[in-house]
Amino acid sequence: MPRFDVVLSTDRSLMTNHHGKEFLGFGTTMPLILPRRFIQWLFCPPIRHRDGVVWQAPYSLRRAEAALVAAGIRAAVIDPDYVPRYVADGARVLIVRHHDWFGLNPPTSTWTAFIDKEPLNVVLFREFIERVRKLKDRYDFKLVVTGPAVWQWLHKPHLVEEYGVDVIVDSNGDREEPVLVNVVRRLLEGKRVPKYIKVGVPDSTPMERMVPIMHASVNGLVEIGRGCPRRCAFCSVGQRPLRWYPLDFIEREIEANVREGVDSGILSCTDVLLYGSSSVIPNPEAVIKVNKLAKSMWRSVGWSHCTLAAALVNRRLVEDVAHMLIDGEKQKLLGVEVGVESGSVEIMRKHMPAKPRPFPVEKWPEIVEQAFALFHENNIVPAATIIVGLPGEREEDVVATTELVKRLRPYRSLIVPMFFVPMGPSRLGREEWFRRIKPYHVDLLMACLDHALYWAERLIDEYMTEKRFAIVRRALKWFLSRVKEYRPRVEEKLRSFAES
Amino acid sequence: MIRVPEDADPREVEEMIRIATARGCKRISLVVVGRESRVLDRLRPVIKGCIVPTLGLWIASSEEEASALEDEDLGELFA
Ligand code: SF4
Repeated sequence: MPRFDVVLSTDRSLMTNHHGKEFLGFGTTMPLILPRRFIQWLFCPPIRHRDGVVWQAPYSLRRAEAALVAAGIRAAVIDPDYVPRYVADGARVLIVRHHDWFGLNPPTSTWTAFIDKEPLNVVLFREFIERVRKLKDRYDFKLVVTGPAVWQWLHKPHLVEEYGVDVIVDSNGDREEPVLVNVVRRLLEGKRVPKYIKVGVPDSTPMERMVPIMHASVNGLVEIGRGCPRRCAFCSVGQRPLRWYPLDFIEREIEANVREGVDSGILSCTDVLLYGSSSVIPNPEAVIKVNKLAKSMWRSVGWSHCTLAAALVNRRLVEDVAHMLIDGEKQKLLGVEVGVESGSVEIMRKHMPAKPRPFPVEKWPEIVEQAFALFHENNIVPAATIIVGLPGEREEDVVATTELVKRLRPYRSLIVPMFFVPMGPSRLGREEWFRRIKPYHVDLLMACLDHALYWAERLIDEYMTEKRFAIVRRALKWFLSRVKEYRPRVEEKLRSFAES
Repeated sequence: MIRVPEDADPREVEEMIRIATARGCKRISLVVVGRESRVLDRLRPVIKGCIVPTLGLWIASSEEEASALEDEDLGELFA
């Protein structure tokens, strides 16, 4: 077994490749309404490893690992079940990264607002950190926690003491590798570091300090840029400067995946259609180049996110890229997460006036519909988010969103409602949490559920065509049939829960 | 580096950070003597809402330890 001075890890809800299907990751945020063993197998099965050194690891852990190794530090990403062995074998720093430590982020927090059962990811993290706590009693190592949602520890300060957290590195919506390397160096040298480090915007990591990953990331996800020009008030990454990674950097990261047998991947950033652009107008040449590069190295390519407005600015670009990626043979669909957020022009104007740009904000509902139609025609499947309970939201805003969701029924997609959470580094970070569900919110939640039930079965068939997915496909369909069966009870429960 | 009493009013701390930032400070160390959970709880609004500048919160268990921290340079973490 190799030895490392620094071990990076996280719990099973993230240390998995979700059977190679990224969207199944959503399932880990669900409350345990069905037997845990089944849910855990379906949404976050263990990942292959050798002596605990994992085959695929969450991208951000890979970036931190690469930066540490480049700095001459012996570090590796280790499966959570093997952390005790490496700590016992002399690791002096354990870095844990997560994006929802206590289930305070959406969608986890959305479920728990009305279902009285713990979500799987919350249970898995607690079990993991309690094991770490016990290890701290026996071995001398430092515990560093980091990641975009690390502000959640500020809401559970007693747990910082209880679990023995030594350092909290808050990247504030940016990449934190350079500061993490210095923190680790100082810890290894026995020097002091602050309890909480919050990386301000002027210290955003510049491109020249970024180190590409050396080993495979979960489902081949590679980042192609950072930051966002639209600066929505509720969003943390939008507060950071826009930086696009050069093609050779991206190529090295795809290579790291291909070398280790990951033959499909995901291009990740806030808007793949804006790759290489410094405004909200796509740069077609750059977008084609980055997608062509990915397709030349992978069987199939997904996108993490894009914006609906950018898609409509250059329809031809969307058609061309879809045509290039979706070859019918190796790839039948292109999945992407998009933000619809609201059907209300007023809410858009107040909290995200730049999201529809270059189109006027008054056109937002039309932009959404037209972009969904464009995606549908080109076999692009959006998984859209809706934000419920933004500050200043009125009944008519929610009704407008519900109507928009209903108008989107003809287009192949999923729509996920999320309750507003005042996230740390966003401009709404000090606002109140959304807690009061009204009957009109229930109408919206049910419209989203009905949309999902309408499309989910077809999507499972189209998305999981390979034979190796036969069992998972059957399990998902069974799961779906249970949700359909429970639909009336869900509505009844929600209505009784809602304040009139 | 700003010394902050354990029971400081978060709004006052925020104001100190605002003044320091206006004077051109890019990185600020806050040094507090006290119990970790209490300090984090009390300063939550200050830390959570901060986007600029970079903040380092040092929590010391005694005045002597806090004095020793005065030599620490947050800038080294960004070198
Ligand atoms: S468009 Fe998306 S990534 Fe950009 S600021 Fe808005 S929510 Fe954030």
